[in-house]
This record gives sequence, C-alpha cells and structure tokens, in this order.
Amino acid sequence: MRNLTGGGAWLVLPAVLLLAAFFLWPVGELVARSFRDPAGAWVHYQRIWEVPAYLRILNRTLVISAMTTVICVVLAYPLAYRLVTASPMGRAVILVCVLIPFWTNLLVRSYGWIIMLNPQGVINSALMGLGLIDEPLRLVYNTTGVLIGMSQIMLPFMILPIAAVMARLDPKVTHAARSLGATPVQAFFKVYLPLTMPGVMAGSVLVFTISLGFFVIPALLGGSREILLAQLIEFNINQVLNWGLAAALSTVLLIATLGLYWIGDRWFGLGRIWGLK
Amino acid sequence: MTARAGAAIRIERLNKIYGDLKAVDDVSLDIAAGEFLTLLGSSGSGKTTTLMIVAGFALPDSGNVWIGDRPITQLPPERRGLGVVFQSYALFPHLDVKENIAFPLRMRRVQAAEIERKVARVLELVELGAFRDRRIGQLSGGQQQRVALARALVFEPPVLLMDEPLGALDRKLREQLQVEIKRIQRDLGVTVIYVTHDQEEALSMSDRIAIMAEGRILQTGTPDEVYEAPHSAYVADFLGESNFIRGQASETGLLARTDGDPRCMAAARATVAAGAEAVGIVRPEAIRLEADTRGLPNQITGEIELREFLGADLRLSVLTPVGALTVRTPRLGQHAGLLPGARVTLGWSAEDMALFPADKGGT
Repeated sequence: MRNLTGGGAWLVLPAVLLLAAFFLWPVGELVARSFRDPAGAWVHYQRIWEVPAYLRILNRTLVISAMTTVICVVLAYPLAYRLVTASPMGRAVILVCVLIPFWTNLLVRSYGWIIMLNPQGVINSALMGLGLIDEPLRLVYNTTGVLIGMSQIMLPFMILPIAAVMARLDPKVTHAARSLGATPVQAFFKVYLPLTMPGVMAGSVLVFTISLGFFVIPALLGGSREILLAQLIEFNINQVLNWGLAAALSTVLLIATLGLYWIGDRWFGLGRIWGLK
Repeated sequence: MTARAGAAIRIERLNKIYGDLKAVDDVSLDIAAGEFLTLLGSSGSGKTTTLMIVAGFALPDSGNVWIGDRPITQLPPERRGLGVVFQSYALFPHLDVKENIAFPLRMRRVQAAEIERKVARVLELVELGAFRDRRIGQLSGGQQQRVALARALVFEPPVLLMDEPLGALDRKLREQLQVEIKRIQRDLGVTVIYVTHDQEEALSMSDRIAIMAEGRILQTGTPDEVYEAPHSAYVADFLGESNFIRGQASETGLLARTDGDPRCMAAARATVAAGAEAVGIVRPEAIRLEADTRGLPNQITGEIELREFLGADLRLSVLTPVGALTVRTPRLGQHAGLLPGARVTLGWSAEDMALFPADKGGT
C-alpha cells in the first residue's frame, strides 16, 4: 500500500486546500474581526458580558440545547437498542425510518412541522375532535415548537453513537449478570446502562454542540421574542450590520463548540464513535 | 470457600426447535452430584443450546430440568443459582476484578465484610490475589478466564455450567487451565456441565462424556468407554483418529474391498448382519508394524506415503490395498527404515477392529 500511494500525503491535499481556502481562512478572519474594533479589541466581548439580553439569549440557547439533548437521549436509547437487537430486516426498517427524515430537506421538514403543529393543524384538530382539549395547544412559534423540531432532527446523531456502542457490547454480559443473580432491571442498571453510557455521552456532546448553533429550526418554529444565539448572530449581520459583534458572538459559539468536542473526544471517545481511532 | 457438595442434575426429554431445525432432540441426562460431565459435539450439535436451557437463557419446547429435587425449567436464570462461565467470559469491563467477583454477592445483599472475605478467598483459589484492583482490560485472556471462574464460584453454586470456557486460549494455557479447573472442581465438589468441541479436552477432564450430534445424544460414557467402545462410526470418527476400512460384513469379520479380490479380516465387535455393507474401524495406535505383527490375524503390506514427526510419536500414512491407513507408533524403539517409499507390514488384532453399518453418519 505504501508504495502504491507514495506515503499517501498527496491524497488529502485537495481536501486540505479546499478546507483552508473556504473554511479555515474565513473562520480565522471572522475571529480576527471580532477583535478589530477601533474602540478596542475586547469591546464586543465586554458588551456581550454586560448587556443582560445577550446573556439571556446565551443562557436560553444553552438550556434549549440541553433539553433537546435530554429528549433525544430518552427517545434514542430504546430505539438504538431495538436497532441492534432487531433482525436484519427489522434493522433496515428502523434505519430507514430514522434516516429518511435525516435526508429530507431541513426547510421541508420545518414547514411540515408547522403544518402539523399550528393551532389549526393536524394534531390540534385531532385532539379537539376527540374532545381531549377545548382550545388548541400552543405547539409552535415557541419553545415547544423549537424542542419538537430540534429533537427530531438531532435524533440520528444520538441514535447512531449509542447503537455503535451497543453493537460492540458482548451480548453475553447481561446473560452473565442474570446468571449471577441480577433481575432484568438490575442487569440493565448495573451492567447494560453503565457499559453503554459512553455512547450516550458521545451522542449528547454531539447533539448539544450542534444544537448550540442551530438556526433554521428556531427561526421557523420558535417565537419571535425567544430567539437563540444563531438568530442573534444573523440579526446582527443582516439587520443592524454590526459585523464586529456578530463575529464576537460567533467566536463564543465556536469556542464553546470546540471545547465541548474536546471534552467529548477526551473523556467519552467521540473520535472512536466515528471510527477515527 | 467451604467445600460443599454439588447437586445432582436431571435433564428429562428436552426438545427445542428453532424454525425447522431440531436444535435439541429428546435429550435426557442424569448427572450425579459432584460429577464432571462434558457435552461434546461439533458446532450445531445442540450442546450449547442444551446448556443454555439448563442455565435458563432458553426455554425448552418440552422437557424438564431438575437441580437436586427442585424443578427449575420455568425459573428465570437469576433464581436458579447456577454458576455460568461463558466462552467470551462476559466480564463487566466497567468494574475492576474484585467488583466483578463481588457482583453476585452484591445481588444477594451479602454484608460488606463477608463480601471482602469471600472475594479474597476465591481470588486465592484461582491464584489472582495480586490482581484484585486491576481493570478487566488490563488482564490477559487466561487471567480473564480465571476471573470469570471466580465470579461464577464465589456464591458457592451447587452447579457450574461452562460453555467452551477455554476456546479462546492458546494450547499451552488451555492445558494448564484444564488441570486447574479440574482441581478446583474436585476441591469444591461442585457438579459441572462442560461444553466443548475439543475431544482432547473432553477426554482429559471429564468423569463422563455425552457425545452430541444434530441435537441428539449419541453416546454417554466415561472417556475410556466412549474411546474404547464407540457405539457408532460417527463417534469413533469424532473421538480421536480412526481408520475406516470399507467392505461387507461376514460371519467372522469383514470382507474388505480392494482393487482386486476382497480381503478377509477378523473383527471382534460387530453390530452388522453378515452380508450387509459395513465399515471396520481401527485406531491408528492399535496398528502394529513389521515384526510386531507376527501372529496377528489381520495383516497387510503397503507403502509409506507420509511420515509425520509428532514428538513422542510417529504418524505414518501407508497406502495399502484397502486404502490409506494411518498408523501411530512410539518413535523410540522403531528402526530407521520407516521412511516414505519403504514397504511395511501392518497388523492388528480382531479385538482392535469394530464393525459398524456403512450407511450411518460421519463416514
């Protein structure tokens, strides 16, 4: 192999050039711009720190991302278990159900949710038709809508790392636990859950970091008053043209993301989930 | 650990069907307290399924299992109280050695001091005292096997079930652990059902062997019995090496087929009616060479085709009129002429040739 590729360095050259020209350089430029204000290098960061509205938005972004993560864990864990224990046919069905939405355009899905969730939408009509509720539930244009949309989109990012860990686990460990006197519930909490926790942590780091910077779903399904960080950045770029502040906010997001990814890689083997190590 | 007697196991007419495959077909066994019984068979013979039914991980379609006088067929595995050692060990990698071993005691809510004491004793028993705080990932295969054994024994089960426990280890370690498992089993008096496909392992460790094929038990007996007096050509073939000589049964033995006229051979044990197609089976070590053949009823000459050096023994493949015969003979005391191309005379007694119907399995 070595002789065939001559060491192989040139194989990655196109990708490296592309990445450098269209990703690393612009991101570097963005970070640099956040410090380039005539009034002082840290002026934007100072503003972020001092204006309560910005901190509120940062805080809300963290909370919504955390809630999305928790919802995804709860939904994904049993699904991942079914996925790895199913017959090949069942596995294909589950994978398709998980991945088809994943392949569907984000906007299409978001408008789909609006159709489903709005006050005259399918869900509210059905619930009112059944007499379960008297007036429509507020399911969209608020935090509920954002959580529903984000959880659905993030689900595959949670399922796949968890399923990868479950698939690698020796299925005999739960048998062993049972033979040693553990009830099914004990075997789950004492053995299966701890051993699949790395998958949960890896998926959580992934979902949380992607959620932090999510724009489309909060913009379409969220309320206009409860905006998240990505919307704030967009607002500063397109509406008020304060690129310096937008750059500073982006840098905060970038550092948070890199920091979380580092934690995920260092302690929860995120790199292993992708097959990199 | 206190030496305490194992329990008898009674397996009665077990059946288990997967799809259209009879995984276990009318299997019955009576295992005495403290006995070491091996289920021996190739993969797909039903030995592991039988073990899993006893362990409680598979429900039989019909039949029953008793431990002592307690019926356990319907009990979930955690209420059977049997020690199980899996081929993959199935240790808990998130726990260290001592916590792996303490697991069954914690499940039984044993007091902390008592756990400490029992874990220490069983670690001593498997000679892993120095490893109590190690992570599972830091152990070699052999050490992991011992931890699995310790974990299955620490709660003093009356019965230990072992599913190919040494399958993943290299030969030397396997032999060493065979001796050790045997010693521990004898010291504790625990009843063992041991599953393996390795006939040497079965022969060296077992009090009794049950040979399985296609879900059925073909023969049960002590290692000597099943080796010396196989009930079928399949068993003879499966256990150790055998030479198969084809022909027709006669009143006194076998009319062995050759290129020319059939040769008359004497056989002692025959389960075939005269005139029927039959196969005569001779163990390679039962065949004598040259001068040693004097006076033997069955004699044949052939040409040495292959000579294999096995250390203590030589194995020769000799082309004879009745086919290629394998001969295993002690290396010492043999003359140097046993080389490929040389002609030798082979001979064996009537007692060393058993006749079986030719149409029955494995040949």
